[in-house]
Amino acid sequence: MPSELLPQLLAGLGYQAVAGLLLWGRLTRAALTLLCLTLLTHLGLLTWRAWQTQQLPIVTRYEDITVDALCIALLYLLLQWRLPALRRGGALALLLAGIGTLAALAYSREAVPWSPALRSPWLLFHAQFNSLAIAMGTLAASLALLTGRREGAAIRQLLLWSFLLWGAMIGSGAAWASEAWGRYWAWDPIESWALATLLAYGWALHLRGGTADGHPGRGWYWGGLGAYALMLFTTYGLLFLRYSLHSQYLFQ
Amino acid sequence: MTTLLQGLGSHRLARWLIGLLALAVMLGGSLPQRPRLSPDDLSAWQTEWGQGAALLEGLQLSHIFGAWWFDALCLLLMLNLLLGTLTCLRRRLAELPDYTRPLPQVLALWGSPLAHLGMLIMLGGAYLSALGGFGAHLELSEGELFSGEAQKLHVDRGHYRAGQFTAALRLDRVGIALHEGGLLQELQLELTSQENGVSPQRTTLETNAPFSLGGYSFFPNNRFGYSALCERHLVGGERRLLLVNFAVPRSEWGRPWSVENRRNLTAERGPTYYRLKLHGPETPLLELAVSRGPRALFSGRLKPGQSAEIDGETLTFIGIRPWAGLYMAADPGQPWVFAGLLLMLSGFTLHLAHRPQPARHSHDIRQGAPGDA
Repeated sequence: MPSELLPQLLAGLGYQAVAGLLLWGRLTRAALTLLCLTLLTHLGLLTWRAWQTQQLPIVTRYEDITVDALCIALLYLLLQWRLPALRRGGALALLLAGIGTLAALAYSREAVPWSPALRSPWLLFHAQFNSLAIAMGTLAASLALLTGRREGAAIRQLLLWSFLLWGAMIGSGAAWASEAWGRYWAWDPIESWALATLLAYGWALHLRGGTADGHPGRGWYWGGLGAYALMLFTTYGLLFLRYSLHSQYLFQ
Repeated sequence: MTTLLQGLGSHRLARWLIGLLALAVMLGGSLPQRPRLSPDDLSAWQTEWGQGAALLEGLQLSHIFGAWWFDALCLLLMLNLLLGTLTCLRRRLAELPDYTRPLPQVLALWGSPLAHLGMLIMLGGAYLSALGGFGAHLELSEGELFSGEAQKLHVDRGHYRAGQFTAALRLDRVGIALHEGGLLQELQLELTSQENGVSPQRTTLETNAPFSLGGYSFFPNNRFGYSALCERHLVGGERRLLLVNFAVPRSEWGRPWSVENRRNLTAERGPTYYRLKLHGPETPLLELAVSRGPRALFSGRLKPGQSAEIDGETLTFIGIRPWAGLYMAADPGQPWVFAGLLLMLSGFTLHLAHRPQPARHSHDIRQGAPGDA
C-alpha cells in the first residue's frame, strides 16, 4: 500500500522533531502541539489501514511496531500532564517511537488474512497490553536515562505499571492459548522469555536501598533498565534466533 | 525458629529466588529443550552439539522445566511468598482497629498482599497442572470413531489409562478452506458424540470454541490430510481395517498431490515394513513397497478396489478420506491459575490506583492534632 508511506514518514520524523525540541528544552508548547498533530497523522494512518483491510492492524510485524510506537507517543502525551518530570524525561521515548515508526517500513506492509486462531477477542487484549507495556517500559527507561536517579518515585510508578501491563499481556495470552490450543502454557521460547522479563521487573521492584533523600539505589536503577532490555529482546529480537508459534504471524 | 521463618519470608531471599528463576527461564527459552524436540530434531541436535549436548544433559539444562532444581526454586519461592504474604496480612489486620484512613488508602495498602496471594495461588495451580494435567493428540478420519482407545492417542503430557474416556466421538466431516498460499481460512469439524447412554449429539468444532465430552475438552490442532483406507485379510481369515494418515502440505491442498509414509506392521510371520506413497485427491492411487528384513514381499500400485497379495495376506486399497487432528486435554490446575492471575492483577491495580498516606491513629484524633487549642 504505497499511500501509507508518506504519513508513516511524516509520523516518524514528527516524533523525532518533538524529541529534539524537548531535549533542547525550549518551545515546549510548540513541541506538544507538533506531537498532537503527529499523533493524529499516525492514528489516521492506522484507522485507514483498518478500514482498507477490514481487520485490526495488530498482527504483522509492520503493524505491531507501528502500534507500539503509537502507544509510546500516546502514553507520553497522557502521562506528562500528571508527571511533569516526564515532559523532558520522556524525550528519548519519543525518539524511539520515531525510529520505530520508520523502521516498521522495512517490513512487508501486505495485509495477512487472519487464520481461525486469530479470530478471538483475546487477540485484542493480548496485543494491546503488549503495546502498552512496551510504551510504559520505554517511558520508564527514558526517564531513568535522562533524569538519572533524581525522579525515583516517578520511575518506580512507571516500573510498577510496566509490570502490571506485561503481566496482563502474559495472562491474556495464556487465556487465549487455553481456548485455542487446550493448554495455557507450553514453555514456548517467547512465553519463557516473556516470563523472564516479568521476573526481571519483579526483581527490580524488590530491590531496596537508596540515598537518604529518597533517590533509588544503583541496583534498582540498573535493574529497571536491564528488565527493559529483556522486554525489547523478547518482543523484537528473540524471533530472529528461535522459532515460536508467534513467528508464523509476525514475519508475514 | 522465628529467625528462620523471617529469613524464609524475607525480601532478600525473594530477590535471590526471582533472579535465579529468571536466569533459569531465560536458559530454558534459549537452549534446546528435550520435551519440545521431535525425535529427528533431538537426534540432529545431539549430533551437531556432540559433547556440548552431553554436558547439557548432565547438568539437566536440556530439560530445565522438569529439573529437580527448577522445582526446588519454585517451591522455595512459594514458601517465601506464603510467609511474606502472611506476615504482611497479619500486620494489616493488626492495624485495622487502630487507625482511620480513607477507604482508597486502605485498598492501596491491601493491594500488595493480595497481589502476592494471587501469585501464590497461581503457582499452586501451575503445580496442579504439572502433576495432574493431561494432553494428547488424536487423528481421526471421516467416519472414524474414538471410544477411548489408548493406541489412538499420542500423549503430550500426563498419563492415560485405557477406559478413562467413557464417551464416544465420531468425526463426520472435515471442512477446510485455505487462502491462496496455504494460509488456513476455515477449519470446521463436524462431530457426533454420545455420553452416558444419552442420544447422540451433533456439534461443529472450531478453533477458539472447544468442545467438552467425557471430562475432557477437545480442540482442533490445525493438522489435517488424507488417509489411505485399506482392508487387511489376514492369514487366519480375520479382517482388519487399516487407516494410514498422510499429511498433505497446505500449499498443495486442493491440487494434485503425492505424499509418502512408512509404517511397521506386525504380521503373523513377523514385523513387516511398508513404504507407501499416496496420490490424490481426484484419482487416488497407492504405491506400495513391502519388505520383511532383506526380502521384498511386494512392490506395485493399487487403485481403489484393487488388492495386493503380501506373504499370505491380502491388502485391499478401498480409497482415501480426509482426516483431522484434535487435541484432547484436561487440566485441574487451570481454574486456579486464572483465579490467581485475576487476584494478582486486581491487587496490583488497587496498589497503583491509590497512594497510601501516613496513618493517623485514632488516639491522635481524640487528643487533637498538634497546634490545636
